[in-house]
Amino acid sequence: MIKRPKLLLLFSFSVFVFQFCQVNEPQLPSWDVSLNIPITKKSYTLNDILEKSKELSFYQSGINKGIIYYTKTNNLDNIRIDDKLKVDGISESASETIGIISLKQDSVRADIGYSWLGGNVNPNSQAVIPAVSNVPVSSNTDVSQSFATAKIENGLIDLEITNQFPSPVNLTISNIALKNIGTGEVVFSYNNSLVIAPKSTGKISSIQITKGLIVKNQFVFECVVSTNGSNGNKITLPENSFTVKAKIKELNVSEAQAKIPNQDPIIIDNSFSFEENTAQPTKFNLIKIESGLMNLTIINNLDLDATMTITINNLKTPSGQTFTETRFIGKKQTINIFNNYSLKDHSLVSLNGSPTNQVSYKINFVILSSNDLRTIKSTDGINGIINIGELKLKEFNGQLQPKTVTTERSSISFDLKDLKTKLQFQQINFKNPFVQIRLKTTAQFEFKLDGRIEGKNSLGQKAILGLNSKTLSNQIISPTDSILSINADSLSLFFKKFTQFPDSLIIYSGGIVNPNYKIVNIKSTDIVTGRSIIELPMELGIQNAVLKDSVKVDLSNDDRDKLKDINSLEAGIKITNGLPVSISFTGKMYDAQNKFLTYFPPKYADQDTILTINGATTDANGNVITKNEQTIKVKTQKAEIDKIRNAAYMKVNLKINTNGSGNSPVKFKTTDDVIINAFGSTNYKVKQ
Amino acid sequence: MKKLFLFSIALLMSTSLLTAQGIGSQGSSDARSMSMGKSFASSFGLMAIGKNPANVYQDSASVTEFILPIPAPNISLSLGSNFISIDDYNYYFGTKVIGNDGKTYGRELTETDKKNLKEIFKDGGSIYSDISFQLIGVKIQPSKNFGAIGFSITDRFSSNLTLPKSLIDLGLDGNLPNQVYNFSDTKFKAWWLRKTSFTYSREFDLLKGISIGASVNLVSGYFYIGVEKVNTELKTGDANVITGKGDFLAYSAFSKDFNVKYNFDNKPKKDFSFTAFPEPSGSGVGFDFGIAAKINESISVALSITDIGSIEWKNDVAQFSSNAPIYLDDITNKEQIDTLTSRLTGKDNGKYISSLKTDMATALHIAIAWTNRSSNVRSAGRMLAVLELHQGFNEQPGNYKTPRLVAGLDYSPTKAIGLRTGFSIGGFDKFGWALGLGFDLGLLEFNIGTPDFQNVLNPNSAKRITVAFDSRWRF
Repeated sequence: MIKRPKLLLLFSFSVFVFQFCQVNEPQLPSWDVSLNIPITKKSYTLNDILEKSKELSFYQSGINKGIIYYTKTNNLDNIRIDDKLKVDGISESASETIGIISLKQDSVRADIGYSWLGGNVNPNSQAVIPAVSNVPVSSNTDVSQSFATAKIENGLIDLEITNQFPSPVNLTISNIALKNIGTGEVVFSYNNSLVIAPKSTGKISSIQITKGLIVKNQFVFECVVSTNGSNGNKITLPENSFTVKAKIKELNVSEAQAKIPNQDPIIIDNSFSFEENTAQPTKFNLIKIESGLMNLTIINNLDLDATMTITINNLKTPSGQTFTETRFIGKKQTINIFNNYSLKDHSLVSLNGSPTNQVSYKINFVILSSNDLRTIKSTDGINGIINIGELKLKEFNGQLQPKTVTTERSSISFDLKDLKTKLQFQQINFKNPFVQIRLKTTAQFEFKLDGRIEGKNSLGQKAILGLNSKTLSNQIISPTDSILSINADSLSLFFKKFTQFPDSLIIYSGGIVNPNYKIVNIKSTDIVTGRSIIELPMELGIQNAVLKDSVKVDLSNDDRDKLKDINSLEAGIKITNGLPVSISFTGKMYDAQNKFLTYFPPKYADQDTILTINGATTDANGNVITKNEQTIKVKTQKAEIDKIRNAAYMKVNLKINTNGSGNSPVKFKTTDDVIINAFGSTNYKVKQ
Repeated sequence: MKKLFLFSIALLMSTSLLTAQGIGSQGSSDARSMSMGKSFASSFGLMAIGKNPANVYQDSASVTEFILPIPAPNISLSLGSNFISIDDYNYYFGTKVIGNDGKTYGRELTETDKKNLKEIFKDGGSIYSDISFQLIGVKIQPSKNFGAIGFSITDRFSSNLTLPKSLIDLGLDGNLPNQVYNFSDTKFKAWWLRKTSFTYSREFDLLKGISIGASVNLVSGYFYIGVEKVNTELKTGDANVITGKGDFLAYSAFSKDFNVKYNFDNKPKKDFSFTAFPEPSGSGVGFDFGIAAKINESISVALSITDIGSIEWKNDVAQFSSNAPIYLDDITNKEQIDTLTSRLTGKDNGKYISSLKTDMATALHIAIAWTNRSSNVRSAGRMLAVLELHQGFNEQPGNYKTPRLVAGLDYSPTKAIGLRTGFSIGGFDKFGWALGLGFDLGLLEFNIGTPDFQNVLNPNSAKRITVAFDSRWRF
């Protein structure tokens, strides 16, 4: 039996009560807790920026060692020689006369009968020839077949008188004269006597014909005859008493109507000059012609056919032969020997190895003899008209006339992206900016650069920098020296005219080929290639530069939700600024409907909306000597945090000034750094 | 954070059951012992195994005892903390508030709430658990001359956790500038052991009235986690730079059958699996020695040292350590964050070591008892009063270096009923008022009791809940 059951039951009850004590379902409480965390400690050097940019580099040695520079190399559009290589055309005429004409040798004959003897004496009869003395004889000769008339320039006659009488009849011929029939003009006279034995010939050689005399083709022979007779002997009488034969030789006439034998060719041996009237004509050693036309007209004023051969000594055919052309030109004809003859692939060469602008040519006009009577004068001749149009050259070696080439336009864009429009400044002062133009020609000639650089920005500001002897280190490019540098001072002044970076630089580059009139070797395919190198060392002063931008506030919905639990935020930034530039920052936050929400940093009684970070101290040369260390605290209360939760974007305004006095340039080096030590405190609600 | 709280609550709110073969100076034991303020001198026969092997021998005629899973398995569960009561828990962690958005939120702590919560932790926040199963127990005492031999197999899951005060301060206040947070009061040990005990005890003729006993305990360890030391410190200085040092040493060992994979191990990952009979990760041999002596018919004294020995963990033993400065000035710097994490957690310094030796929960137990009966066999009117001192030599799970004084009383108004009470002062619990009841039906004995009756009377102010129940067959 169990005693004291009550006690037992009480105890058991207690146990069961205990079993059912109230233990609630767990629910994590919420509470505010402070978090003080180091956000980040980062060191940035300008070297970090270099690694991300293709256009930024730094000097690795020299007095500028370490200084960062912006560099951009742009290829310039090629300056082509092309159709600039040309020679002005020429038009030239020349003429030449035939000059004294030489006629064929001819002879006339006169048979003297017996009338001079008096009596009735007949040929072939026998008769006694009495002695006579000084009996005048006159007889017409026969007609010359060579000419009809001729104006004697000079000529000779060989006279042969043949005594036809048999022995013993001698003849003494004197007062010999040959006269023009009709006019009686003395062609020649011979005053000496000529005793001619029977059946012999007496000769008188090379009797000069009277110059200027116009002779016809028939003469009158006159003489005085004396004979001793036949001594009373009967002789058989020949056909004629004596025969006179006049051989006209070496007859050169100034006019004639005659059968013209071959004459000496009419030669026009002349030359024409290119750019004759210019002070510096183009003189060639060798020209290879790309294109050009030649016209040649020959006018044959002679009443004779001729064969014309023209040789242009300096002109070579595509096969390298001297240019020559032979043509038949009829009497009194005008022939276009060349009508727009293409000189393509022909060459002009100097014949003596020295540059020349003269082209010699020879027209050899070979007169063809005539078998009929032609009227001709010594003043008759030929005319040649040669016309060579402008020659475009393929290749030229010689002394090229300085030529102006077309200005080419090239553009150098600054890859500053949005910085071009977002960054404005009062003034930017570059020290030692460097713009170099490197030109290279494929030909061996000098080139004098002439042009300009223009810059323009979206504000409409424009500046022009001429490329001339004042702004360039060297204006002449030679085959061995092709670097032109623009003077730093000129460039600095150029950039000072802008308050916003130019979008690009336009380079107009032209110039003069062979400005010093030197002997050159150049082809039409030659080009002047080039590139521009811009180096803007980050040794500059910038005054009141303002950079405006809009950055997206990229918070996820989760982040925005978490911001609800933040009661306050305080962030500290300890900056060690090793850059010689001060920066002022302010931001304005907007929601998706562009409604202004709050400044950042927010405005409080003890907090301004502008954060200013002072720059490092520099010396007179712009080198950083002392870094600036400062701690900035930014706090944000719940009201502003709630506004930031709704922010879609923030407009950022950065104002930048370099630390040099009077905006003097400061140096930005790879070793310049900014150390940012950011830390924050927040009061945060912990909850489930 | 939430899971830790829930776990703690679960530990606190899990209830009762029964006996255990307690070890250490603090561990749970059988219901009778628990009823008398966790006394050792009141346990005899099979119940004395693990307490004082000398008391396994009884001068009574009891020959054979069994502890079996029927009618009720012998399970003991003791969960507690030394800092937070149920009332406190309900206030801070069990309050629900419906917000304006209709959602359920917890209490919003005021500064006063935070201050009070920190006050709760001011002496440290320790949580312990002790769960044991006695699979089987057998004692045979063929004759007084032969003595008694005993055999038992007991599993024990024990853990001691001390949350560092600095962690609470950090959680509630955040990292205040220039405040040094030192975590050297962090403690944690946990293990699962299976102890197979062989006990012999007898009274010697030459030492009349004196019984001496010894137990040889073959211990298999299935897992061990222990933090040997923590000297980690953190401080938030100028610019909120966090400095300090990560300094700790921890070990772990798991049975291969659990498929635990460490982060430094490249072996393929397998799913965690649990088995009741895994391959041990460690083993050891422990000894219990005890002596009990009757001064006279009423007064007896007893002395025992339990769990002398160590466990050597040999399989898959891992060491995690850190002994390096901590520096954080950039939370965006992944390397710094990774280094900080590594130095705080040691996750990059883990490595296998060949073995680890851990001491068993060695403790000294001294008792003096008075009874108005000459025999310890229950009889009507029998009274037993005990006064004991328990001193742990280390702080292994179930053991505390803080000595514990016990005063207990067992009164049998009838032969079948025993009323027990007692007080425990000191140790982990600091104070406990025990109360229990026993039913001795001759063949079968039932006991129920609690060492913390004060918590039964005022459960919501309880920081721990422990109820014990056991049974024993006697032939």
